[in-house]
Amino acid sequence: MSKRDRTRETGFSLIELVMALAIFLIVCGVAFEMLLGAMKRYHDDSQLLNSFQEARFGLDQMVRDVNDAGFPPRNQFEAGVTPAVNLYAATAFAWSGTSYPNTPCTIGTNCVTPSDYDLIVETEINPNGPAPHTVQWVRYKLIGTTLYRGVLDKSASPSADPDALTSGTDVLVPYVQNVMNNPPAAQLAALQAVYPAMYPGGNPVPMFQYFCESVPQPRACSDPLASTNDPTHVVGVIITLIVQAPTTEMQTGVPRLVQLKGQGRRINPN
Amino acid sequence: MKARKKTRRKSEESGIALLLSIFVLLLVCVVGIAMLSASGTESSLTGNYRSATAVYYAALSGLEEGRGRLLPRNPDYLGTTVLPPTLPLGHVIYIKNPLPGDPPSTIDPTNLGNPATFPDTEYATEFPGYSPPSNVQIVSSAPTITSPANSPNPLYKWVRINALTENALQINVNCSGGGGCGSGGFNTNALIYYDGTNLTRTVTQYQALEVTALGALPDGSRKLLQYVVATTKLQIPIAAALTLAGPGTPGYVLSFNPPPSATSYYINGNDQSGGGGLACAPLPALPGVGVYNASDYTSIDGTLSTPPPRAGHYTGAGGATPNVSSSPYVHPSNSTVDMTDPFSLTNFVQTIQGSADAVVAGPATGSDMPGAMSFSNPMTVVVNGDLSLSGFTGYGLLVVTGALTYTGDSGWKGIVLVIGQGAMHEVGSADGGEFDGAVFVANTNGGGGGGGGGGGISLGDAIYTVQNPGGKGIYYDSCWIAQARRPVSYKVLSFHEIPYP
Repeated sequence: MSKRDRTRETGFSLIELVMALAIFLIVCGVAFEMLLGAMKRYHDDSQLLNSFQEARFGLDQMVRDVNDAGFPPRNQFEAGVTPAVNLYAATAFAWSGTSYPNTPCTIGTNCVTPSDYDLIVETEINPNGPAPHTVQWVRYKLIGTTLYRGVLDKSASPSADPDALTSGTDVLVPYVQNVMNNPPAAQLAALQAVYPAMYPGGNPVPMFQYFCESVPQPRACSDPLASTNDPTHVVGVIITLIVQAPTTEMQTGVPRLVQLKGQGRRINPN
Repeated sequence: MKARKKTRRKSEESGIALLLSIFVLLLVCVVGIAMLSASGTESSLTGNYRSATAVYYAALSGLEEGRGRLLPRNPDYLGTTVLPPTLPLGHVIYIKNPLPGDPPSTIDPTNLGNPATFPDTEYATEFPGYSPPSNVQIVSSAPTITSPANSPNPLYKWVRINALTENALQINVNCSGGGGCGSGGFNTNALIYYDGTNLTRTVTQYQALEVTALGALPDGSRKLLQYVVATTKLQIPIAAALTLAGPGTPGYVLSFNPPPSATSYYINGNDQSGGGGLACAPLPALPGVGVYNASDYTSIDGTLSTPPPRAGHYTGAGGATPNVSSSPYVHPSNSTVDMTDPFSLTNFVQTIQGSADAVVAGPATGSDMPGAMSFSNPMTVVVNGDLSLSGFTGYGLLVVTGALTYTGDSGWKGIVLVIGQGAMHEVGSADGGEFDGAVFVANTNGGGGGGGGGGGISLGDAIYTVQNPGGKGIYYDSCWIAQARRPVSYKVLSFHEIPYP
């Protein structure tokens, strides 16, 4: 073989180049498709996680407020003195109406709050802050699909209605969005179809479940066997948040929900 | 020459493949990193939640250890050397809880300059005049808490136990200072006490204490929680030497069958105060037998009067015999238990059980009673079910939820509460035993109809039967009653979370 023939063998034919280019493009296309898919998923997941993180922070705060509910109790002052009612927590969980704080309502019957989607915690948020130390009402209320939170200094008036005073839009501010515990009926049906276990019986899911003092152990306040079922006897609150991500599942298009649960325990005595 | 050509061709052919490989590898890496990043965010979110919950419960476990170790009857009691009867200001107890294998020096709450050893920065804020504390007692976490096999060590770092002031509490407890209850100017030197219901600056027998715990996880999560606690004794309202509680409604009148001809059986409401072996200042007499209503009074008084077995054997306040009162019970303000309410009584039994020295499942006998119980070491014993005593004398507080059956040579020094089935029977022909203190019998299993407490239940009819000779009977003894009311727990008076830097 001559030197020229040998040199020709070292190059590529046009077909080889076209084939190589085609394979290269196919590989690149597949790879980019995967990359774009991953990036979109990453973006969607980030949104999902942001939503859930926001919900988780909200849930943690609610649990913390329930744990601290009722601080400071009346017993922190001497029996013979008469502190203003806003200097101590008359009860861990305030209720609605002018009967507060003397005659508690019945949970599940005539309590506007506390109820499945509404809770007012009575506590001193910053007990180590500068004096004077006053108690606050911290309200959590689900309106539509937005969970609102409001903080208001407790009124010094013994007959003030915590429900009325904390209902205003100047008190309640949006706290967690896309909360799907109690969505409109059509939306609930659609969500229940996708997440049947999350909505047992196709019913809304209470955000707050209350446990009351009972014998021999606390029972759900709604349980007919519970010995007590009023806000002054609530010893625990199970908080359930169902949150929907802003975007749907990329491939199936179904809404993405996550259920978060927390439990707060009231320790302070009434 | 041939070999050189071969090498050259080989290197030219591998060029594009190498580039392609590198490129594809890069793409795969990018995709992989993106996926890792997404799952990493998820992991950290889950981890944050777990930390927040775990550190809360870690600190809470520290608070509970601190509270539990204040109580003398607990096995890991701190002891009077570490915990004097009254804790002065400047005297601080730290319970340190290093991780297994770590030296105790990894925790030093008094070293405020070293954040790595979990300094107690809160103390100086609460006690500006007593920082650093003049007396620091350091003890280790209780081995019964940290050593059980396969149980993880609670992740709290330290627990501080100390006296309490208004400044530490940030509450003007007695509203002094001229500015009213809401004014600042918290007292920094006066100890805070507990009067049974409220904190007070007046000296009482119960000092209020502060228990503070720092929970810390390896990931850096920290949480500082605080209790205010004070010891409590069971407030058991005693209204008569023998109280038979019942509704007195038709069909539910009390049943009391005294020994018909006994010569040694007495029920005496006059304070024996020493007759039972303990000496103390006598208290005013109580009724010998107390019931809650006219129907029961008529029944019991009639039983003890006609035919007259020995009406004079039933003595007490006022001197009349047989000494029966139809309204001996007044609900005292310092007691949370309402002795007329079955729901309250049932709760009360649960409370006692929660702090009992021994809880025995019935049916039980004297041999099931705790062996350490003695005249000098009275105990709180709860029997869930029936109890039969034969030739047995117990000491302290006895609660029986079933029927209490005893022979005449048995007795109890202290308080006997038969709450539940509400049935008490003396059987056999033995004699010589006696009850010094008080006996209370209530049927909370219901049936009386009308009124009552929660759950729509009301008291049923209590039963007390005594055969002949019946033993020596029941004697009101305030000394033994006081002895039976031992400190049962350190009650949590308040709880809150404190920001930790």
